[in-house]
Amino acid sequence: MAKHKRVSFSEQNLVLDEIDQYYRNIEASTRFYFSLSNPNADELFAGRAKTEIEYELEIISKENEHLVALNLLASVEAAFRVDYLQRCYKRKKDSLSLALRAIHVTKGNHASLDDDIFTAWKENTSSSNSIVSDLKGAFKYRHWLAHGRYWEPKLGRKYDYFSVFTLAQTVFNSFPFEGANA
Amino acid sequence: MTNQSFDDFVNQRSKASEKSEIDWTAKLEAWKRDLSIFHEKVESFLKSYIESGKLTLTKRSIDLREEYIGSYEVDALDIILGDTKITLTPIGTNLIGAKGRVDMKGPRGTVKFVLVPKDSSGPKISIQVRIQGEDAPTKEEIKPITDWEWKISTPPPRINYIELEEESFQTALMEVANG
Repeated sequence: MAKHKRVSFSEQNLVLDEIDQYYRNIEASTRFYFSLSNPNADELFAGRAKTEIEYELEIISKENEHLVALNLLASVEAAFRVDYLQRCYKRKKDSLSLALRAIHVTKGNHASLDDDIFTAWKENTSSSNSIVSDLKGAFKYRHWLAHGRYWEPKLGRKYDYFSVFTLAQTVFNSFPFEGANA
Repeated sequence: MTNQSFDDFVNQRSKASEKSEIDWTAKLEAWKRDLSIFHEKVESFLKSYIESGKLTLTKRSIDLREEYIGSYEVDALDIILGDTKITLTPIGTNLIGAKGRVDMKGPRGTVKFVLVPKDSSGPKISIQVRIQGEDAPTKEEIKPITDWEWKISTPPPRINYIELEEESFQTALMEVANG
């Protein structure tokens, strides 16, 4: 294990409350921009039907959801990776930590979230197949977002801000993570 | 001569289909039944106001598309209260952490109704690290969730599930209508 360089934690990873606050701000700003309360509405939307403006608002809101969902999933990934490294650095001896430590011997900081870390959680904890499969599915969605959405994704589920936040809250409420300061 | 890549392709596809044991037709039928139950609840919560003509509740057919299930038609509800329109739109059944969702949208916001395990009060599950040598539970030992109930979800960042009753529904409706 010693051959892999130890990661210095930045402590800059965003927490769910901060991401949600950002989402609320951006969503409220967008809705205000497209509303008649916007002092520039007459100029901005001259000659356009209400339905057209609503349609444009819907498209932009959807985009906001995608972008913030990407951030939510990045936060979930950070939690799993910090936990992975901490269990290795602290040489913890429970079955999950031992499985993660075995992965660390060969892969160090480059363990695969899906194939290595999620699988270790599935095999060494009481986490159900369903939460692990929800996570794997959500990270396919993240992969699609992060790599430019150029292919037709086979995601299986519908993803929006609310469903991704629900998953993130389930993870942070339920998984006994070793945090950066643990 | 064996076409190796075609062999691999067939094997891969047949393995993938073995893995997926979900009966999507049954899942869709169950979703439509659950949606009818939701609509009946909404109707009962607003019955006296509908009968007195103070508000109108109408159904309209919408198309939904979900992976594995395909396209299908379901009913959405429109509530007209004075000059305010509130819509109750089904989102789908193939979702994270819920067996179904309906979004109630008004001029002042959105409230989400989720079909979740009856005893659930929020997105939380129990996860314990297994002791070394302890076996994973067998398929038979894992009890599937059979009791689902429509609940109101509070918004992020503290998602909780509230019982769907007349009073909580009416409060939610006022929230999306008035803010």
